[in-house]
Amino acid sequence: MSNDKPVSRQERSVTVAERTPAERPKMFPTMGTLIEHIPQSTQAGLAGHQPTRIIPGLFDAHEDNVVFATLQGLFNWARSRSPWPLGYGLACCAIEMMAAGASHHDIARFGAEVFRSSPRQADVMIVAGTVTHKMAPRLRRLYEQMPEPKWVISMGQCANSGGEFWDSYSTLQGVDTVVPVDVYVPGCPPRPEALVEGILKLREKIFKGG
Amino acid sequence: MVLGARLQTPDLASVRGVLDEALAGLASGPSRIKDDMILVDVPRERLVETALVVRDHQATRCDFLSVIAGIDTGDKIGTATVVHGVATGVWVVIRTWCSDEDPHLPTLVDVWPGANWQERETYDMFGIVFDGHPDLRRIFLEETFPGHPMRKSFLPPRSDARGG
Ligand code: SF4
Repeated sequence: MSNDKPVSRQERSVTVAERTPAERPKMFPTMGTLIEHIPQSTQAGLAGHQPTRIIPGLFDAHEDNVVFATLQGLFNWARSRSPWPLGYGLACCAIEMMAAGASHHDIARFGAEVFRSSPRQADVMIVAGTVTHKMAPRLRRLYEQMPEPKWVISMGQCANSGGEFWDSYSTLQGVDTVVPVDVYVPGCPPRPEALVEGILKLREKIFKGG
Repeated sequence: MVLGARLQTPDLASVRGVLDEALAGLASGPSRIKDDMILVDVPRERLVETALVVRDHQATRCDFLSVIAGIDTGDKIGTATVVHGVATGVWVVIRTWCSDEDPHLPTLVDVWPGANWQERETYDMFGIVFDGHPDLRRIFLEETFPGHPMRKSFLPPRSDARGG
């Protein structure tokens, strides 16, 4: 790496679609080009969110299939590919969550099909349904029992804001009053596609280091 | 209104006559037939006796407790106990009243054990205290909930007042 000037972080975080291989900054003199060594399937997955930004150094693949990456980048990449949900179906939205997990919508395509019954094995809490004030402390406790790093998807208007139970005497007016929410999925109930979109958004967020 | 399939169609008018005789001195007045059901109003002191008659009398034999519903008319509160005789096909509604200042009714758990949770719900929603109930706690709402939400006097706490 003698001839090359150090590449700035911004510069290395290239938009793949924007640059030709020749334009890509060379990280290491013996490196191949950045993108060619990424498996086709991963490229397809990344292409869902244009413009695709590559975590600095993550896909600097050697010709012998050596991948250099920051440890954090590698972690984020791995975590974003398997956000295991905690099955937290509380009301009608849970039916759509189950539909998302079933064969037709099949969130196994996004690595999120492993609904865990124990919070200790889960990464994402999908709060699907109406949260009552009585349930809120339990929800918080389950959230706290999840190992770090953890994320929360609020599914449906009930969990987002109270929904049709707005201003009711027993319903929590938004689950974000109890746990930090990463992705809100609107709808009453959201279709499974919407939940899938929420999971993809969350993957994006995790991939970017959130 | 038909609440369920009957094994036989009861002759409500004659059942009502027999029941009125049996309940003489217990009920507040003669019963009425309303929507295929016999409606009996009783003072709360006579509620358990009335329930026993309705359960055990040959004409009704109401062994199935369908629901205990709370009522709040604005100036008085009470319950409507809807019971059914599976063999006789008779539905009977027993209504009892109490007041806001003295919201006490006798429990029916000893007559129909299924009344246990029903009365807990009525207590939870209407604040009616069932004297003699073995386990009178709230059943749906948290123990710290302020008030009884189905009462007309209950003002729903604004969502922002509860941290929402
Ligand atoms: S948002 Fe709609 S579908 Fe979802 S739990 Fe609430 S009421 Fe049910």
